[in-house]
Amino acid sequence: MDRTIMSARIGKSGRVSRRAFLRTLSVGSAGLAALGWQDQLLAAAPALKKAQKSVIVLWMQGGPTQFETFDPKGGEHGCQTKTIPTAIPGVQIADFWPNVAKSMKDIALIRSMTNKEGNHQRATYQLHTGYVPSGTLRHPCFGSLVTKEIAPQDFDLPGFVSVIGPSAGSGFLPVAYGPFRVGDPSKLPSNAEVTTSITRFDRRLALLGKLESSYAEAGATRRVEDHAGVYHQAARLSKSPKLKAFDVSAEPEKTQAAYGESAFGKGCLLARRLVEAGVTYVEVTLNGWDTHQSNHDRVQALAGQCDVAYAALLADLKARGMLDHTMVVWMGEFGRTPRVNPAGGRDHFPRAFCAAISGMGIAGGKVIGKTSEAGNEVVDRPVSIQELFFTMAERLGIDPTKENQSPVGRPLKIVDGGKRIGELFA
Amino acid sequence: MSPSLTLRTLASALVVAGLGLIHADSASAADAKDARKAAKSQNAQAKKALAKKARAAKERPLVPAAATVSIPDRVDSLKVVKQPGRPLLPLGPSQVGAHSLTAPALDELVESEAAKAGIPLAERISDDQFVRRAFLDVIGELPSPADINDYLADTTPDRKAKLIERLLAMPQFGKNWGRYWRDVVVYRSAVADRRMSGMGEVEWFADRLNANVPWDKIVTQIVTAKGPTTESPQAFFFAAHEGKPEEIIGEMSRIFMGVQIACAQCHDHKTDPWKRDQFHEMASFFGKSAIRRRRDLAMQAGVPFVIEVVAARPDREYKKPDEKDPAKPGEVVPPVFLSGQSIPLEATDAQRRQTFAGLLTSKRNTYFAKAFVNRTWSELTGRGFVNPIDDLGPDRPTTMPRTFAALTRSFAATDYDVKELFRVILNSRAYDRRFAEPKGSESDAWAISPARLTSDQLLDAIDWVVGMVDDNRETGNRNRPGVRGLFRAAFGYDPSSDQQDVESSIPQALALMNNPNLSERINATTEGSLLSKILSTQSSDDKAIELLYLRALARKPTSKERETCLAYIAEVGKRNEAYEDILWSLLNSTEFLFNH
Repeated sequence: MDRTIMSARIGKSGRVSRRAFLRTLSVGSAGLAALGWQDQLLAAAPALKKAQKSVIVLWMQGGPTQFETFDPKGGEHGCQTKTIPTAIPGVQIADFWPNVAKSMKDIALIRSMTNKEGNHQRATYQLHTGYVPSGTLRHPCFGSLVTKEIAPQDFDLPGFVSVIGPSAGSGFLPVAYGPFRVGDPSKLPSNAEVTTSITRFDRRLALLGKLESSYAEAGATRRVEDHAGVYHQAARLSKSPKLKAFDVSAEPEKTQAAYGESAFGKGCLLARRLVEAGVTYVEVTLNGWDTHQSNHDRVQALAGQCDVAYAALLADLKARGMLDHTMVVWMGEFGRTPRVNPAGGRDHFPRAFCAAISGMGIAGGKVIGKTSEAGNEVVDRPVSIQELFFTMAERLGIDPTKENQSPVGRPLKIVDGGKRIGELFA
Repeated sequence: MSPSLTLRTLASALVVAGLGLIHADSASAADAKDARKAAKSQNAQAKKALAKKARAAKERPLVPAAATVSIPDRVDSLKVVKQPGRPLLPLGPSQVGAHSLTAPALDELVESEAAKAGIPLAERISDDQFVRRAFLDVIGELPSPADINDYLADTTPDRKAKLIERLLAMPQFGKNWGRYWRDVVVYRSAVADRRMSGMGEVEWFADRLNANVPWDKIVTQIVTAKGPTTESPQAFFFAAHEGKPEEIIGEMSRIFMGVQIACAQCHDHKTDPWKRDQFHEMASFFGKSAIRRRRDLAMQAGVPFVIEVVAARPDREYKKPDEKDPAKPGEVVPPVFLSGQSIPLEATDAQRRQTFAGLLTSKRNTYFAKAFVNRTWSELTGRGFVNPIDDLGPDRPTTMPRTFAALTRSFAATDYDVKELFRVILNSRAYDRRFAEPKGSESDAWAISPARLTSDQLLDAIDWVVGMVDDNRETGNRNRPGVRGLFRAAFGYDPSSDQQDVESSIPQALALMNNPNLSERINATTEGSLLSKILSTQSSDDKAIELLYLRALARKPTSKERETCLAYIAEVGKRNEAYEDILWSLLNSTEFLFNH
């Protein structure tokens, strides 16, 4: 390890360059050069390996209303929405969600999420990274943080996949931890398929390897090695039988039908297939929740896609015994105003909104927190963004207080503050 | 398939892969504000009244103007006020002498500092490598085989200086560096469509850099920007940071001075001496400006958004939030520069920003020249004198401190003459040495370090080798994103990050390896493709291989490479197929992706 320490570049405040650190790990592990960074990290530190755990985030882009989803207030406040009972006595949700209502035993509802940010971009950033945007620093997406900590080593598929997307990037962490984006869940990822025969593809790669040698000899050894590492992974993905995990049409028709015809439904099915294949973090986006106009009708249409897909996902995971090690989180960037505006819409409202969480030992059927009758404030057990991320990290076996270093050597915790939402497990 | 279609389809495939930031919901702070306003107005009538009021407000201020205050035109006459417990940014001497540096003088300095440190300097690079490096660094494009051959054939002693002059005079110089500065400014924006940008800022920079407008003038125009981005593209800085004083000041200080004060927003800086109060006093220079979204102008111009920089209502004050209870209103903070000069609270928005620009670009503020010189040096040689390049201190370990100081003085002495700084560096021996990869040792900073091509440079390089891009808009909108914007979303990186930390990704590799449309352009059977032209006119494999190498890598193949290729052609047996594989390999090679 002497060599390791000697060759790491140590900057001010004792920080070791991230790249140099990763590089030094491979010094002592010959033959690993062809693997990706996360592989090297994990190979170098087997203790980091955790039992296979996964997360599926159902991201409701635009700020989903709490009133027409999981915190309805009956006929009040311009609500045309009726409430329906759920599988949990005394817990009611909006009537757009009959399937989710039946699945409520597997869902813990948080009705008291609270935040200050009412701007889409900034709140989306915050609800993806756990950090308030700072201008000078791009924080890593939670998916990247999780991938870095627990994604399996030596694996064909990316650790973090964003479906429909765009999700958020790896920030100051290596791009290897960033989301692999699949725009259309009904198609294989773009450029993933080899355009020639596999024989010719391998022949090309071999030629590339040979022709790279003069640049390596000219002094670019590391760049060439890094490049080979990324190409090795990309080629491995291209040729992998696991690439089939991206093909939702391989599912029985009955299963496909259960998730619904929408892109979001297919995305949820894809998420299950990816997690089953070993992917660590999948985010599926449902766009359109920014209902400044015609809130009622638009939410009805959105719920029509989300209700079946969400419930089918939970049922499917449960039936396959995957819900014990897969966490499913339904969330968006903020909630919407109790008042309905003249256009029949609801506007941005970060003060009180909902999130829902399932799986991995979380007590389904629980309702955490409460909003006032008017729905304009949290009256019981406010839950901050940090508390949500803290709890998620802990459930995944990640120490939320563990620090990563920013490019200027600033230590940043995986989750900045917060504590466990104990009620989720009681 | 038309060549133009090719790259566009490649780019859109990348975005389908979702690499783009483009699909992000782009509502802005202005939206949120609109929404809040709308929420308050409970009926359409009230909303109409509000709109009427807003129209009226444009014509006359709602609030009587604050008492006027006079601010000296010359910021250097502002007094430095010391306060106990507060560090000041050290100021340079009030007079800058004639310190302009020449390339030979620069070499003398570098070489004496290297000798003193006991670092052997690398050998000079070959002529063809020099041409590729200079082309990419100055204009962001690959040289043509003719450019290389002309240079090799030129026997005049000043051929290097002539090439550099020629490149600095090309319009692509401004474009290449305009894109660089666009990326520097927008890359850390929290707002996805601002990161995509496309507010005309590249052309704005390009015009000024090509006309060699001094750097202090360019920055002053950015700091004092007024009006909508359609008329004043330099307002893109405010737009990128949502007009928020805290973010604007954090980024202005980082980018234009290399001083990172953003950490001091919430608490005293942990590693630097800055106090929380100082951060907010700096932010106060921008405390009376605001932005608003101009949907009307965006509609007219057919662009996704237009942001206008305006003076906020005169009674708005910049307040420092209460440290313990952010819900409290906070304390009004006057504008004070990091070096201790202040102006009264009564100063207007225009006065505040004009003063800030003056203090920022003052020759006594050596950090202004340092930040530009360190970035330029880093872009041209691959490593800054100080790293990270945007964290200059005060008090950071510096490689070649005398050289850095001399270049900084020279830049100030030439009144921030950008092209002259390039000229001195590009003509020096320090610039044309062989590259070496950082090894984590002392000598790293003395070597030329390979740098990844920017997304624009890579797109232009692919375009140069295999096809044409017809759509040359810098960026488009979300529904019709320009090929450049898409490519940037896939291959772009933050130019302020350490080159060592810029990594390629699997989707990038997949795009270059497997993109069906790129394959189509590689194919020898595609009409008009590079290979169809070369193979139909060159029966000699030796010559054909050489042409491919010159085109893609701007150099001749080594004898070993020539043999490898010839052996490959013989092994495959089918000429077209073999050449397609060779061209595929060159486009997928590490060398193609780097400037070295």
